[in-house]
Amino acid sequence: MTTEKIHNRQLAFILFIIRSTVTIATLPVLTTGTAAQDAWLSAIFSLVAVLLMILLVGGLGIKFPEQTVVEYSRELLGKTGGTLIGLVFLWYFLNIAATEVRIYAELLNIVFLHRTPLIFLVSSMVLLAAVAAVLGIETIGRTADALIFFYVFFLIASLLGAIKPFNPVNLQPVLARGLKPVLSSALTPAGLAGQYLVLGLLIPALTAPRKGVAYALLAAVFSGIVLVLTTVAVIGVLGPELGNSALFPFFSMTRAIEISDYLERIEALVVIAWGFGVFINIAVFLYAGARGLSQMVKIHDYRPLIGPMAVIWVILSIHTHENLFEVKKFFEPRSFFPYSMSVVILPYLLLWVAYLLRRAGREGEKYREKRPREPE
Amino acid sequence: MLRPYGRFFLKLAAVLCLCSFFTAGCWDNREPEWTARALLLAFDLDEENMYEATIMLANPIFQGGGQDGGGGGGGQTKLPFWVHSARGHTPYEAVLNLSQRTTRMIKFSHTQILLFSEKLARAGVWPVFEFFMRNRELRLDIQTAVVDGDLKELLRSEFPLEFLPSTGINRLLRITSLERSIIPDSRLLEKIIEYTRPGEEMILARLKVLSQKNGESQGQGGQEESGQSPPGPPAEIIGAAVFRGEKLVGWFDGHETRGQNWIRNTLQTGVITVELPEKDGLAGIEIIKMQSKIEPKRSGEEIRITVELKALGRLQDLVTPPGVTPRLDPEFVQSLENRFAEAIRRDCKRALSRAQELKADIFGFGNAVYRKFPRLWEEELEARWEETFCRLAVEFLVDADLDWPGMILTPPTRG
Repeated sequence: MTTEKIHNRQLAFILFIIRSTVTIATLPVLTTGTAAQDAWLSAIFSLVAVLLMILLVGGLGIKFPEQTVVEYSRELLGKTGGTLIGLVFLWYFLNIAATEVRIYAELLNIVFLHRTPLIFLVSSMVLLAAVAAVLGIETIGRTADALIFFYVFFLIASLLGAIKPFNPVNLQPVLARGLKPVLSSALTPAGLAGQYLVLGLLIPALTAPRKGVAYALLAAVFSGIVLVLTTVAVIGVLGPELGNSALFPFFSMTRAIEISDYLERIEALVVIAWGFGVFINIAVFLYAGARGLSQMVKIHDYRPLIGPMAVIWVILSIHTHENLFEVKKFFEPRSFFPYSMSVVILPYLLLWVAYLLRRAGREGEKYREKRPREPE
Repeated sequence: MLRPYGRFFLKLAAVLCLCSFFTAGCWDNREPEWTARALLLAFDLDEENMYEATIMLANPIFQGGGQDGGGGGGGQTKLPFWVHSARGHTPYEAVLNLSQRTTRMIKFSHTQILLFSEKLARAGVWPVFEFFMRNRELRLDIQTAVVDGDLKELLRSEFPLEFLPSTGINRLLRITSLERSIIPDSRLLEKIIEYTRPGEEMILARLKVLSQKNGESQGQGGQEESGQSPPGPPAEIIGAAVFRGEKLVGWFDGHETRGQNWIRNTLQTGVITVELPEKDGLAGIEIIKMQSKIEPKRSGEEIRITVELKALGRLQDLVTPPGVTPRLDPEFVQSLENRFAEAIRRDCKRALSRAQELKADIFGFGNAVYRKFPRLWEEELEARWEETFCRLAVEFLVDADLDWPGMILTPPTRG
């Protein structure tokens, strides 16, 4: 049924961008939890969580290389159960992506366009993403191909700028208060690993679905490296306290960088990279959401769904959170981690159990089929 | 399936591109003619404890002619800048109140300097820092200092080599810290980090206003008629303002500030004058390189601090009475090196004793302890660090080397 294909490389780019954009945006390892100067350790912990998540989602995905998660969950759990799980996933896509585009709009609103209505910023971003989603996953994949160079270049340029004002004293003492604060800061980024649910819908679109997991892991490792480096740079430049209270720490850091008398204000790079990232993010989520929904209600083509979904998306991103304080609260480890885990991990565990039971059942059947011959 | 959509979007994109030709511009456009750029912000407290913000705006209609500051005849000549102030209950209100007397929209994104009056510094500077961190136009990579003297007079005065006083103050701060190291690091961001770091106090540069009118700091400046002779320097940057918490508690002089720079490894260059071994002359030594390390040691309950200092100097001049020619042999150099080290130690000790007097740990000794013994710090020392610091035993291990003799070795003798 799927005719459009993306290369595994493009999948890796997409996943890398999705994950790193969160880093550029709010750097949750530093702004949630209490790890302060040890946040880079939390970053490593959250990387482990992401890798596990990929094994969980991707591992099941490659068992059904032709099907999306919506399809095989129906096969595994029956019609009702499968549809329910599919709905849960779709809700999660919607919620996370709506929040993400909201944060981007808030940044533009706070820093650059402080009189532009949020809805304008959000809807222009969603419109762009919707166009990409209508044109299909191939287009999104190629866009990722085209943007990744700028994305990585801007990231590296900003990080290089941090070398001069970097002060290692800010990173000490290491692990002074034990592991507990470190873990508390790792929870929200680990919860955000739920973004990799898109793997469940992207794997059937790959040219080599069985290698998808390996590419996803590679992307996660690279984005993990970016996360660790960024965290170290932000703490080294801004100090743990200011970094912790900044709304957009990476952006604040680049604002504080003065490379020389003539070369300063490199924060534009960060915002551009962030914009690219949000675009890819929303486009992929919108595609995945529409694709999933179309399979759920058995519509042959997902494209007609995108228009209405985009509208719902815009409304949700404006109305889920009253203001930025509530967005911040949404990402608090105490509430976000359990939410994310129950929405992502529980359904997947259910799917895995169903899958393993079925396989065990099949093997049992084979065994039973064989047994009568044994006496011969 | 892809085709019809692709074609539609291609058309749409073409239309949008065309639109961009006709709709260039902003819907809420603010012409550059409507705006004025702030160069410097200064904060003061008035008698009723209201914040008073003083702003220096670049004059957009100033015509840069060949000579400046020459005649000053008639109303035609406009100054390149304009200074005025307004009051408010909070720093933000004060800054906002500036606008009702400004004919243009004030833009803050090019602000270079943040100054505090002594009065505000004694009352607490944190509200202003908070405002700077929160504001979207102001930045943290600017220079900051505390003004010792009349703030308004400083902003009205003219810096002989510069167009704008703000540029003057900016260069004064940067260049003095590069060449003399008699002021602390004066970047705003650095100050905020110092404030938030546990076991460390803030130290800001001190900008001393030199009065032009009564010429008290200029010798016989009073005799000369103004306008006849070129003006003297309006301000001098020397020493530091020492804070405890967010409040100013005292001043450091140049030597003490340099001592602080030695200890905290922020020294750039500077000059140290030492006596010659025979006590028959002086040698000027330029500091080229230095490195210091604060090492806290713990023996039972007691905390000791060792500061290891490595310095490299370059001989710049020798002042000897006529007829005396020192021989620059190894013993002589060794003896100079010892004196060099002694001079550094003296700087450091002066800074330490003055800081202990003010009960302000500006060296970050507490922070060094916190970094090395975080448990001990959090459980015991944090609460009583101020008194611990006042009795703290600090050892300075100085290793000073003298490197280049310059272009000559032993000075040529006469006859």
